[in-house]
Amino acid sequence: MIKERQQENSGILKKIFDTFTKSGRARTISSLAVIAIATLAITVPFADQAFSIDGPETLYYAQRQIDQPFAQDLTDHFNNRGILYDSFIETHPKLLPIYLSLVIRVTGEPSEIPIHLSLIIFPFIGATAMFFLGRRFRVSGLAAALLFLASPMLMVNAHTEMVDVPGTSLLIAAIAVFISAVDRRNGWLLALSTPLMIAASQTFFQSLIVLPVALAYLIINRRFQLRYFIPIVCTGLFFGAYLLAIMTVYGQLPRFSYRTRLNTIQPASLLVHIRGDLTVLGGTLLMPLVAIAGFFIRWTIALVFVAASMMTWSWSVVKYSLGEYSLSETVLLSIMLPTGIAITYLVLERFGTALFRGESRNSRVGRDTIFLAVWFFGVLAYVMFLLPYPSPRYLLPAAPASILFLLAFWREHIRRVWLRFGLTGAAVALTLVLAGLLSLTAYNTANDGKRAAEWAVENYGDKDNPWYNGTFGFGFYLNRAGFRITPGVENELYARTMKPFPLEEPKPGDYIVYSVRNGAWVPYPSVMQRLRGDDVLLLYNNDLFFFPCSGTENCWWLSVFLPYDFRPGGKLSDQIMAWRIDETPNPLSEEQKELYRKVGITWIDEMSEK
Amino acid sequence: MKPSLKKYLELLLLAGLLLAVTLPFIGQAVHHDAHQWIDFAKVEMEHPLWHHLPDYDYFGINYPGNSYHDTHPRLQSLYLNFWLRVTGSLAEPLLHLEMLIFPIIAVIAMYFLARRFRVNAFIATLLLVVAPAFLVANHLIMIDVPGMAFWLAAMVFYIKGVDDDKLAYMLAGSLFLSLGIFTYYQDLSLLPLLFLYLLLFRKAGPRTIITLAIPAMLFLAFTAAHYAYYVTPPNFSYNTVEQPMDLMSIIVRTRGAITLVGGVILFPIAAMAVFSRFRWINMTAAAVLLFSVAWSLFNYLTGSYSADNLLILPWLLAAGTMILLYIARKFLNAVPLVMVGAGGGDDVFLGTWFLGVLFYNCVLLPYPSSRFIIPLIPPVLIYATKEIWKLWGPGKRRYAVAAAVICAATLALALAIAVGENDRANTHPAEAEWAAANYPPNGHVWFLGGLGFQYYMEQKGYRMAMVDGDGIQTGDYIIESRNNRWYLDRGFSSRLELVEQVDYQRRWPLVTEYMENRTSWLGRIGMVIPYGFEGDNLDRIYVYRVALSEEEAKACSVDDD
Repeated sequence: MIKERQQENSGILKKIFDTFTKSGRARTISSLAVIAIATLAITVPFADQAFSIDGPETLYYAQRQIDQPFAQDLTDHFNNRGILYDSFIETHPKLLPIYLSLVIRVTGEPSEIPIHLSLIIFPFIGATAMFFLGRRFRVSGLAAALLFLASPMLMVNAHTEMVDVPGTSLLIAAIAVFISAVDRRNGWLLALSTPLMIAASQTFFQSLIVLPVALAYLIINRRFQLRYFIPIVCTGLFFGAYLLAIMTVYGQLPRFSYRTRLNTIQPASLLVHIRGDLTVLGGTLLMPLVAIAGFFIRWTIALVFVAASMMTWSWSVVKYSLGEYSLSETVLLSIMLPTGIAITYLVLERFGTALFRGESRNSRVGRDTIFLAVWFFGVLAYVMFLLPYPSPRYLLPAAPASILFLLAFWREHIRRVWLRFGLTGAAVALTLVLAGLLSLTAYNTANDGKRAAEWAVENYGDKDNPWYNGTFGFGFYLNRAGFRITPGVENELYARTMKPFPLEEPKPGDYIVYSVRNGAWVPYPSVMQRLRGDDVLLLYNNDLFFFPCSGTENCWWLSVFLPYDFRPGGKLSDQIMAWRIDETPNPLSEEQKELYRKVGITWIDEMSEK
Repeated sequence: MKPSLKKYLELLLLAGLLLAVTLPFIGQAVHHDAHQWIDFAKVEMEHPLWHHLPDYDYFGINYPGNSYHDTHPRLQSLYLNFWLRVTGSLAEPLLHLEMLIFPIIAVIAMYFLARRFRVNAFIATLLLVVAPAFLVANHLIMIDVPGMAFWLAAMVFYIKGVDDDKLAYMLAGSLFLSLGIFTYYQDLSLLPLLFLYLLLFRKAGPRTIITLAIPAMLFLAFTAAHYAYYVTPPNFSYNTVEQPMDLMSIIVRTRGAITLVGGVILFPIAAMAVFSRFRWINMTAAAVLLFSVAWSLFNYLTGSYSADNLLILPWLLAAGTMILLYIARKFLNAVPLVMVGAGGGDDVFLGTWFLGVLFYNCVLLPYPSSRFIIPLIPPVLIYATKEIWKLWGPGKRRYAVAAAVICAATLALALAIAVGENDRANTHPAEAEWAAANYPPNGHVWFLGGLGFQYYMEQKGYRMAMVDGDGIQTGDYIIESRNNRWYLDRGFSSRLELVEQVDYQRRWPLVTEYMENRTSWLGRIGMVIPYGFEGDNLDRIYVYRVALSEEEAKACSVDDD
């Protein structure tokens, strides 16, 4: 009896399984369901993450767009160096704030859970597009989508409010739809690709890469019919019109670049940038060990990896012995950088083979390889030469091409399906573990900013004139609590305001709360000279990983050196200082003067002499 | 006789000859740049991995902290350091005995390399043993012979491994190549050269490439570590007064390199005879000879050249041109054959080897020197052995006589140069002895001169006179070696009053260094000939007394008033 029932049950399971595997449509639906569940699984647990990094900037715009949906600037805005702008235009277009403004209309004010839940749509769009792209490139679509979702580049950034995940997702969707339209000669899909391309390029400027990538696809596949160029031309025209409109209304172009400490035109600086980019690529695309195991099936790649490892280990061991690197920095750099170099070499090698061998160039596989390489190197090139510093979120648009490369590579070199399946499963699982741990660190780091702000509100919120010095989430929450921003001394150099100088600043008896981690700036000497310590809050890291970021060498979003560090066990992660403004000024110390000199305030020495 | 027995006998004979031409010179003084290797070896007693000499004075300039880097890696000085730890002595005979291992490796490797290229291995190796550039360099404590020994050993093992598809040989080649690269950077040339070998013989595969990549990876790792420690890459070039890429400088160095090829590998007339099988080469060489005679005569008449410049340079240039054209011809004829897969790999390989080394001598190295061209000796000798056979074979007796005459003439030249260099090297300890006897090192006597002179003066306790005269007081003495000097700042040098001059007369007719004639065996910017017969001394010592400075003189005159 029991046996019969078991057989009956297994029969039902088999039927369900067959339904979802044998029919193509059902298989697609079941895969999309898995993708949806996976998307929810990687995002929902972090839905209450505090606003952090540049996310609040997006929210400021979203709040402004509730009343003026097409406004592209913030009025009377202090940027994250404490500089006042009458009309502040940020380095991204404003489609995402428009979308978030709709959410805020419903919820009343920016609140973490609704905002983050509303953003889940984007990784889902990206993963779905990866699914179809995977199928187009004759690899497992589900594997492509899951690896994309599990990648730390995507997962950690999917919990923020910044433009990178939405922009990249729309970029992948635009490319997937465009390719599908060209392959199937489908006018409807071609029409759909146009708004997607426009949406992507209106979410972040990096998505303009969609234009050369789409063009490359047409050239590589020799599709020169006029209609295929329509989406590209329309997107280009739309973007041109957007620039013209901004110029007409605001009298300035959008800001295409940051003012940064790395000057990419200088060779030494460019080398540091490239090193950082490759380190980030190797460390955050997948779990580095997965990338090593996955990409290095060919001996030439393994050789490049070993050579790069030997160089990196020699470098970092010397730095360690000199006391310049910690042990974890030594180990992590020596794993991540060679991995990044080897991944780049793999793409280059396959690109070269596909390009220079006639039989390969004319095959579909060869053309696909060339296309993916153009995509990969296109992103890598603009990150290296145009963006201000290496960062996982900047390299995110290169992740789809890399993942498709990896899967195509496995398909070509691993004949046994079970081995391929096992490898993919292990890759997803291990990458997910790394991404999960990093997300947890990012979650706690973001919440530290909120905690610091809450501490300040609790202790100084009832004072007459509370001020703050710091940006990102810390600044956002204090601003919302009614704290006022302390103007930075750099206003003397860069402010774009009609307001009279000096700008209003803390008076004797006022309090200032300051966060070391959250991008604090140098106040005017009149404030600096009167600072008297009142209280300090120390925040410690208790995660496995650590994102050190106090304007020094590395952190997740500003990873000049390493994207993350391995320092468990109570490392100081932020220091919140509360000061009271005193009546009598003290002379500036040499250390304080150096701060002024560093930001370009040359009159600080003259002032001291007087 | 069994072939293996013959092989061992020949090798034994060659090793015996090598010892016979080397051991008599083991007492030779520390010469030329060798003092730096010894300085490094001493520093490495405490800091084996340092690639700098701390707070080092070099040619009158102080290099503070860790800023002094030599243009070579440090394996050789580590080797000397090992012996220093074992023996505790830096006596010259010991140093030379320690160095003896390297020419022995080179001779054995050359023997097997010649076999691989199907020439008479005994004759080819014999020619190497007696080649002036090699023989005289064996009496130095420098890196050129060790570098070449590792070069040849790496090549022999790697090529054998590739030809026979034997991993152990390839790994041995890889090991020797790594040792070579860490001995001197010129051995990096082997990486593209051996890769070319793989391409020529279609042997590029995982095993061959990985074994070849090992030294490259080790070198990259070393470079990275060096950069990490010093924030600068290893020092690949000298700071010379001439710009390496300056066209005029390249022309002068090219002339020097061809002159050396003609004059320091084989006896020049023998070289001309050996490479004379092709008429167009002979014609070209005759044209070069005539042109350079005219050129030298003009320079002689205008006073720029000495008599030995006029009489020697044209012959060396003509001989060098013949060797160059012969190898270029072989190379160019073989390239089309390689393209169609009809052989020619050996000639392309040997031609690339020769032309590659000649190229870096002309363009990358600071000046022409007999020691810099040592790595291009083997291909020249392989071709020379082939040509001797073609010209005077197959009759065994004629062949043996021809080879013997060529070897004897070359050996005579090499020994003559070796004696000249030995005399020159031994002058420096004698100079230091003289200085100690006449101007004892009491803190007020300084020396002005580098290389071997510096080594022995420092041993006696003298201090180096810096170009700006730092620390030198009025009334101090400066002892200058003309051949090794640097120039003091004009403001300071005007205070020097010549006290006395001592000439070290030459006793040997052959001159290996004479500044006025630009004769220089070990190299000098603008070198004309590597050896000559004019020049009245081996070195000249000037002793100066430092007079009052202008300010001091004024102060004195005010006091007098």
